[in-house]
Amino acid sequence: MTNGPIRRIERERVEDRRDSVLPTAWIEDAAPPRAAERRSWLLQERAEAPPAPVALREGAVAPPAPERDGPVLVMLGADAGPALAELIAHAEAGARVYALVPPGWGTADKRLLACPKVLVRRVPEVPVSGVHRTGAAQLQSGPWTLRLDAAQTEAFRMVFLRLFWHEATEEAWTGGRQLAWRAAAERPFDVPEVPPSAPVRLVPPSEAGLDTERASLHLATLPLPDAAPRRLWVRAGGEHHERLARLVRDGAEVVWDELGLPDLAARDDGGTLLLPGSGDRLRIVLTAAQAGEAARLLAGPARWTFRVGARLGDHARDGVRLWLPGETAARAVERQQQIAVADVRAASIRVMEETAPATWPPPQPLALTVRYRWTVVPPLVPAGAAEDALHARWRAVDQEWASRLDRLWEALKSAEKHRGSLGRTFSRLVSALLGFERTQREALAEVARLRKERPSALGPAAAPPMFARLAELEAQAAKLQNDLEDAERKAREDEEREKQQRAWQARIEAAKTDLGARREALAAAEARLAGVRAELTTHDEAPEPEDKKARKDRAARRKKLSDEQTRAEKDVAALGQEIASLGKRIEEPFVFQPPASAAARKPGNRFVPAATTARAAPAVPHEALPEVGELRSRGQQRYLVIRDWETLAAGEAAAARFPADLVSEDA
Amino acid sequence: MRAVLQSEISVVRVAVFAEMAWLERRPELGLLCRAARDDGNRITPATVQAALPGLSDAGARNVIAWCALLGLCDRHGGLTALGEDVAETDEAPVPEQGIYDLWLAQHPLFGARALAAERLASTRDGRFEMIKQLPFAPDLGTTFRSVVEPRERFVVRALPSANGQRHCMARVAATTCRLRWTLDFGAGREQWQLDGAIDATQGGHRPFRHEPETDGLDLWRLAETWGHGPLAAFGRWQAAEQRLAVAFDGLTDAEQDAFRKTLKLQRVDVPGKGSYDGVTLEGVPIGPATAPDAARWALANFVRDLSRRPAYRSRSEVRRTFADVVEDTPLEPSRPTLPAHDTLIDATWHRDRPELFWSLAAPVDLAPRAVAPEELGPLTIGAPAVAATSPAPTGAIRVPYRGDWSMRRLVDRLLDGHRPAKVLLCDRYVRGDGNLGALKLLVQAVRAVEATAAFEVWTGDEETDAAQIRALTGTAPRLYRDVFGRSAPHDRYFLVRPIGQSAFGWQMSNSPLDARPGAPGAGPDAPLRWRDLLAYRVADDVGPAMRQWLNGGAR
Repeated sequence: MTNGPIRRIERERVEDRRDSVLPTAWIEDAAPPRAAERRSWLLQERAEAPPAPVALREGAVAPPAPERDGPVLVMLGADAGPALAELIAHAEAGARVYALVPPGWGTADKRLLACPKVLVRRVPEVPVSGVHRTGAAQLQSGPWTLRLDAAQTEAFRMVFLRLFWHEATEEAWTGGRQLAWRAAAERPFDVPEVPPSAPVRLVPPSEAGLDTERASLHLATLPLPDAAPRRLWVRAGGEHHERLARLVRDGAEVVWDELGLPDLAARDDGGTLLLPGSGDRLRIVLTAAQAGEAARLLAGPARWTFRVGARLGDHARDGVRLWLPGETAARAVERQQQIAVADVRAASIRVMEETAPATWPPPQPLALTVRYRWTVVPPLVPAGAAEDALHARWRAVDQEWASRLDRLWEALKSAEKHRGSLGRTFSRLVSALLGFERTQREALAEVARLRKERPSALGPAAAPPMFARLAELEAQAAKLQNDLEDAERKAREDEEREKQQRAWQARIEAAKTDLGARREALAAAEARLAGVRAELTTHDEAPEPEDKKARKDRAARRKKLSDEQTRAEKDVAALGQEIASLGKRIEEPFVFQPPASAAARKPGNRFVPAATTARAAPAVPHEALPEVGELRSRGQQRYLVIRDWETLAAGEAAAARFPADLVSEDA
Repeated sequence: MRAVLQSEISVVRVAVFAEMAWLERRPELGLLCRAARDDGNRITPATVQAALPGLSDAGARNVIAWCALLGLCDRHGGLTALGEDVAETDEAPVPEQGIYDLWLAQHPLFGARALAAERLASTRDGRFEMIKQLPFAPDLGTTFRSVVEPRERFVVRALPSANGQRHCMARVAATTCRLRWTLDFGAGREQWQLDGAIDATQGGHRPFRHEPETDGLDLWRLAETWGHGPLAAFGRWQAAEQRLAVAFDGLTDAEQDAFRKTLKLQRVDVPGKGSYDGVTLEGVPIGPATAPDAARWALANFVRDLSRRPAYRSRSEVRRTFADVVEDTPLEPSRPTLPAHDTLIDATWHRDRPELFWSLAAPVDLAPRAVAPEELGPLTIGAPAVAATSPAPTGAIRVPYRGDWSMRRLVDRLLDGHRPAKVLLCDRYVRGDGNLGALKLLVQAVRAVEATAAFEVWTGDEETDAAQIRALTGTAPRLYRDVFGRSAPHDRYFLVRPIGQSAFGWQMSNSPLDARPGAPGAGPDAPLRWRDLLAYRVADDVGPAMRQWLNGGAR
């Protein structure tokens, strides 16, 4: 067990593989030096100086002079360098030289172009590079030169003739600045087909095989034989290991070294050499002497050996390379292989220290030791797992708890302010407010205590009593608020009543004062009215003058008096109404009018929140929250997520309670 | 050899009093002459009475006399040439007398003849001093055909005159006339013709071309005459060979090839027929004057033949080519020699033609079988076979040049003592009378050994007369393209399926059909004239089609 956060754990394991057995493998090791051997037929370029040419029929040594008279036949196939050099030497000596070249062959060699008598023909494929001159011929294949005996020389000549006359497509001759190719002219005769018994002949791919019995076999292009030869040289690689293993089990020694030889089967008494080609291939039946040299060459040491069931520890030396089946290259033994195993998910957090992969990935076959490394991953909350609804429900309970306490606290605080302002406004309430202050102080203390509690922390059993107590406090705060308001309202009404009485009294006094003046003004107005009326009567009773101007003046006078009468009547009427009104005001009794604002006030408009009345207790979950971690769920599955090793035990208990899987979060 | 002799002919135009006769259509005389021609070429009273029934004897005699007068017969009734002409043409001369305008020409080849004649009206404009001596008289009694109106024929029967003095009134003549005498020595034909323009009576000139006539000259006698005359400057005339022996130097390639030469002769004489200037003698047969000339000539022709048909040639074919170039030519009697192979390729004539050098060198250097020294040595054309100094290679048959082998001898060697059930001849060319004649001999020779032997022919010649071959062999030939596709053989092959024995065959450097009999009607045992033939025994080294045939497949 460990401490701190729950994280992934890195683990490793080391395995020793020295005793491992490789089913099949090519093993390259430093080969012992090849014993020096003087060969006469199979010569290697640079490595062996060619002996003086031998007159094959008589065995006598002839001078190595270029041909001057007899024609020289040259094939310029692959590895044509030596043959081309010999061609030029013979041609410069004056010999008539006939050359076969592959399609597209050309030359800018001024020495060759300057030679007077070289006839070159292109054929679809030149099977080999070689030179035939009077009584002797030799072929080149890679670094090797094979001297032919008399029968082979003649057969090679026939192969040359058959290609030259029957297969040529274009021809050109030297003597100019360049070779001017033209279509090959028709042959002058038929060249007989080279009989199957000929020691040198072209064979179709279907006949391109070698006799492997008791032979040392060197394969360059041919497929593996079905029967086991004595010794098989085949290019080391990652293929055909099963067939090679079968040949080894059948008694063949399978080796390889880069000798540069073509396909070759050699026994002490004969052999066959098969040169490469895309179509027909040149097959050379070796003489006993040639085959003997080839057999001794193939019996020599080789860098590569094909092994079946090799113990790995036996080939762990420096410099040794192995080529395993299916691989594209050889490689050395690897001292230790590091293998990173895939992360392993622990079945539970508690067993993470002991968790290992169920299976071990195989190491590479050439690993001498192998070190596995892997990471143990704790059980993790799965993607998509969301917070469990229990948390939401408890959070709602806690939020309601907190909000109600907050509102209660604000109400009590508001009541305190209200109480202060009342005290400052209404001195008559001072004694009553003292009682309110004590009640309020006790309620605030209780709220402060409750704010430290959370229903979710106390669980489903303790939460309902807490809400019941909260409801009591809310009721108490509401009552306090109401009492304060009642006291305030009563004080305000008293104050308003006194104010209204003072105003009523002032109005009566003013009316009484104004009534005397108005009565005097009425008397004056009535007098003026009577005078006007009288004057008007007089006017009306006076006779109509004759004079037009006097009549006109009299009418004007009449008009003026009429207007004055009307104006005086209005004044009298108005003053009479004022006097009546003033009398009514003086006699009016005092009536208290409660202040309209206080009557119209509604609870919602108060600046202080209304005290809460008793409320129903919230829906408290029947499950308590986990003691540690976070409960999540996906579908019907619940997960308890913990993050520290210290909470493991509590987490296990909590997880068992729900039930839920105990998991961690990936860091 | 051909020559055109030309000569300008002077034409005289005269007005003369003459007795003329124009040939007019007279069917009754034609009938009479034909009856006479069928009755011994004689007009007799019986003949006349047979032709003209109801005529009395006196009347018949009068008719004969009239015919004689006309010149159809003589006084005894014998039909004249004119009478025979009347029998052919139904045209008989109708005599008349008067003044005629005659255009007269004279030459040794055709004598004096009137080219044309016109009747003249008599006038009083003439003056006595205008009468002149007649330059020459036309051949009297000869039927002339007018060169102006070829349908018009006339006869100048007589030129009546006093005291035998023939006079005329000369007229201005602006007629041109040329004689062209063509001598074709090779074809043995000659003909002469007059052409030119005649001044017409109405004015102007009318071109004319006289219908050709022959003279019957012995041309080769004339050539021999010339050989000793103008031709002697060019060479020696060989009358027996009818050719001119000349030196090789100076001959053009074409003359060497054709054995003909064109010579320009300043003047030639034709005995009795005149002399002619500036004669071009075309295609004069020529031959070598000496043996060295023949040798150089033969080699030159041989090289040109190689150059014209550049191809790789085996030594055997080279020898055949040389023989083809020389044999049956004027060179053959001189027996020119083909140089030895080494001499040939070391020569310098092919220095600028490397393909010719390689065409000779490569087939010998790259022969599948060594070429025999005799074959590589010189070849003298026409010389009898020289005994081979080296034996034929093992399993080979060599028929030497001019070996005089009979076809039977060759077949015996080819069959090698076996009785053939079937033989097959593969030969590219089985056509032409010579080859088919040799094929006939070959078939006869095979069937002389085994009468029931089947004989097949495969040939590459698309123009082969299959019916003719089938008539000779009893089997229709097959074509190479059907048998070998595009891998037709070059050489000839003679394959044998013996009765009860393994099949075998021969690859031959030349065709047995190349042999030619010395005389017509020769049989299979008669000696033949051979060129080189070398046959190698083959078995399984032949191509697939022939191998299949040997193994009993194919047809």
